[in-house]
Amino acid sequence: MNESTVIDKICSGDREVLNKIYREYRSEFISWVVKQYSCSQDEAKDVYQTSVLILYENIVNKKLTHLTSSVKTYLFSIGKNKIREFKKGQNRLISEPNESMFQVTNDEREQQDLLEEQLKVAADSLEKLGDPCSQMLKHFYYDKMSMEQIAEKLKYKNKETAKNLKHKCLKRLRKIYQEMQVKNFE
Amino acid sequence: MMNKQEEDMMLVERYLDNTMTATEREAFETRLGQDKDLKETIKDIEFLVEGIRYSARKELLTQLQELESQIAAEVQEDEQAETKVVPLYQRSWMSVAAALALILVSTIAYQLWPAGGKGDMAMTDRYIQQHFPSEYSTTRSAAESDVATPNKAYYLYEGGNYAAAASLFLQILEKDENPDMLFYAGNSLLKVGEYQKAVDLFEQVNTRYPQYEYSCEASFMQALGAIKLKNKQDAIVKLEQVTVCDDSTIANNAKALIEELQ
Repeated sequence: MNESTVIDKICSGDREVLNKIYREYRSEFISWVVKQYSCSQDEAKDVYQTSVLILYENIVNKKLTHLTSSVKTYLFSIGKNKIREFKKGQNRLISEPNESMFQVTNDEREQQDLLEEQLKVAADSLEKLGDPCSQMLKHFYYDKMSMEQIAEKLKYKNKETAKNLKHKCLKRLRKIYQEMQVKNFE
Repeated sequence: MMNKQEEDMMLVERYLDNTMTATEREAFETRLGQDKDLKETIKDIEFLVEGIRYSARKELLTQLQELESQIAAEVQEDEQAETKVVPLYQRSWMSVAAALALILVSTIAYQLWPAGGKGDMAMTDRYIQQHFPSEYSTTRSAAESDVATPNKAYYLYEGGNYAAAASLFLQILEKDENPDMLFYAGNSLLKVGEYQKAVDLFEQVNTRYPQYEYSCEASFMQALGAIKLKNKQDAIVKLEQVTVCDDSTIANNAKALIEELQ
């Protein structure tokens, strides 16, 4: 798979290319982890899924703009780091919040659990908000898509329409979130 | 006219989305140090953005997990398709005999294949290697001393004594015709070079017992016999019947053989 094509396609919102990457290196990655690090198949699969996810995030967050090696080498190096964390028991892979906002260490598990609970409320609010708002906000804040890309993907007239809708969606989300917080408090 | 709350929200969005000019940013940060409401708004939005990312991340992870399940199901399906060629583990010794018959036919096919023809024998051989270990006995309950005629015939068959096995299978067929006996007699005869007789027996299997569970295998073997008899057209006709069998492995082998013949 051509490296620059992979980056370009992912940045343009093409998730299919991620599925292709997943299929292409899956077998080799899992065998490597099982053999090299004495992990079970299930553990190896978890590490692989997380590594693919991190590859995706590094691309959309522009941490990875060009590859000096192959996608495979990069993916395996992410995997190596993840296995080390996994082996140290620090693999709270999904709930790692933004480090700049929340300095949560492993020792502060209780605090992290609380934070996770709050994040779940926010996530529940997003679910309650529903589509297309939910998709729009995810594309903007997670997939880092531009307003032009969002307008094209969600079939809005232009980027200005998309921008206005994004503002309305965020406003509605805040309202739902505040209501849910009140409800939880009661 | 926009109220203050609405205005703050827009400013916060622009601040977090990095779309403010340097001057606007400076002014905003100064205000942020003094305005409690603005501080509250930015805190809420920052947290919500984090919640959006958390949710999107979970969604992507779920998608990858679903893809993993899909791949696992595909792998399992492929394995089942291969196992189904000869349902070795589902039936008793009869199934195992059927399995060996297929091995036999594959071996014959390899031997019969015209020089230079690639066929699909390497794949079949690999398949046999993987799934039919040699220590697995077709005769389980049958021993050399077993006097029950079918068991004795299977015992000889498994031991590679095809001439004697064929003779016994044919004896049984004189008294009691059944598709298994026809099938294994055909295999045995094919192995000892009695191609026309073998082809006739396979033909009987399929015409008299169209629902026979190994009818695809019988057609495949009949085609191999026809190749040996240099009846290329007959072989292709039989192989074409095999290409529509449910069992994808044998169907694909048949397709590959047709290509080679053409």
